[in-house]
Amino acid sequence: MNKPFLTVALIGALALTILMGIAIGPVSIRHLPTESAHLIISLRFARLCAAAVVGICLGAAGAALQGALANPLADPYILGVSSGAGLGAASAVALCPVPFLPIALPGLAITGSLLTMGLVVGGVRLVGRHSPSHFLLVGIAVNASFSALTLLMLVAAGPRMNWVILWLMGDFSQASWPQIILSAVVCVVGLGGLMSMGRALDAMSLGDETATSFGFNVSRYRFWNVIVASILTATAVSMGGIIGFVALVVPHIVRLLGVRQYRSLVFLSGIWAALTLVVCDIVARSIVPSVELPIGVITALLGTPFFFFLLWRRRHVA
Amino acid sequence: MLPKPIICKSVDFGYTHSVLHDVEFILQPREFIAILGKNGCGKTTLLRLISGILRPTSGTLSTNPIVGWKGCDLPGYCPFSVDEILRLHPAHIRPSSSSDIERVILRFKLAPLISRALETLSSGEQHRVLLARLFCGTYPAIVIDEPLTALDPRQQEILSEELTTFTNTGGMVIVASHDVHWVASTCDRAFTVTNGAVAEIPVADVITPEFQHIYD
Repeated sequence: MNKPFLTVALIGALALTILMGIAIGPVSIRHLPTESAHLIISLRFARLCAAAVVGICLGAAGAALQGALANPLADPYILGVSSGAGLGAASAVALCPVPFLPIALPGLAITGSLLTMGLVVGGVRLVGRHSPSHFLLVGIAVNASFSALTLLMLVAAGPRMNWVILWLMGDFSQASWPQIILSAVVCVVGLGGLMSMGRALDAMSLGDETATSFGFNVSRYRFWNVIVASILTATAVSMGGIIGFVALVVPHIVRLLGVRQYRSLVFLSGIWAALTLVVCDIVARSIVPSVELPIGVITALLGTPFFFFLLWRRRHVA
Repeated sequence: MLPKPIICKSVDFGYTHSVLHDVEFILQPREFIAILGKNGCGKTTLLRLISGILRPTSGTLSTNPIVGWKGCDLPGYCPFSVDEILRLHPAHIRPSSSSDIERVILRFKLAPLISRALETLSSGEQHRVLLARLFCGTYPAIVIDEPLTALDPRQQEILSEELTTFTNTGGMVIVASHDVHWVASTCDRAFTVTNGAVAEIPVADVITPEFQHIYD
């Protein structure tokens, strides 16, 4: 498909869906007094913007990591960022007084994410080889210990455990404007950073040696891709909880449309993931009257069949 | 783009232990050079040094900043189509003209595979695509580790002809190979790697029974 056309079409669809999302919801804004309508519009607009920012972060991080780790099934969470965030969130709920939770929870979540990222990158440096399999293996090891610590904290949190579980399943309703704006800034800078490394990722898909013969310092590019993608994922997790499958599946959908060069793939995966999450958020709060479904549940339920479809498509791959 | 001579002076290289020591040679443009030696002797390491993928531990090595490289291994995950791969080159390397790329596609019989993703091809086909890529950019020198691996006899012949034409038009080719008869019939110069030492021998000698001792 024509790239400029696809870009304009996706950005247009995203803008249009956000506008639609303001109008759609369990309460019709038409029959409300102006003040209440304004309040609802601003609440809906905030969470739609949060969904879009989280989507861009996750889609771009997923696309870049699949290239940097030479693995079509790589997902940003595989590097331990989500378990770190989970531990941070669980610690906040277990240790902080309730009034501080709205700040402490995302704050400790992003601290936990960045801490795990540091451990994974540090671990890989200690092992001394920046190969894709080393990143994945160290990521799995760090993930395992942080998941265990998260369970321990959940037990310590006692009756407040529900907070953590709901947050972990993905939720945009708690996002505040300062957080959205700060995340959007990180998102734009990170997206630009990943796109600027696109040529190196293209070359790295021919193998590390060939990319080195192109003149790229492969270890350095892999290292910075992992760092930037992890920061984007941590930003997404701190604002929207853990939303599975989007980062894994969306880059493959964009590839199916014929976009494979990483600079465009990273950008369009971000926009497509934003569109997906905005739609999922609208569905989450309107499908069952007066009940809001966790967004992570919807993305996982939609993502699983698509994931099987991708595996089926790759059945001829050795 | 015309190649510079490759000048290697007292080059040592090791990973955790010494692999190559005191390597000396000068390779000129228009030469087709083969490197021979038993498994694990350091042939691939020498090719990596010549290609700038590795840097010597000591000594001086003056080589071309960018060469066309094709290693033994296939890429782990390459979502690109054959057509996209043939046009994927370093920033400083101009892609060949469309008509030249068309010619390479015909020569390597890639037309039926052109829009398929690399990872959906057989390993022989993948090696063919990655070899064909080297002739779709204006590389000064081409370095190939085990060029004949996984190619059928007809494709081996085509590759040999293309590499010979490449050297005849001013380029430089360096390969590591175990096929002594192919080396004797195709290459201009031959080097052996034995216990970390690199030595030049006459090309005709590689098919003599005495030469087989380097594999003991």
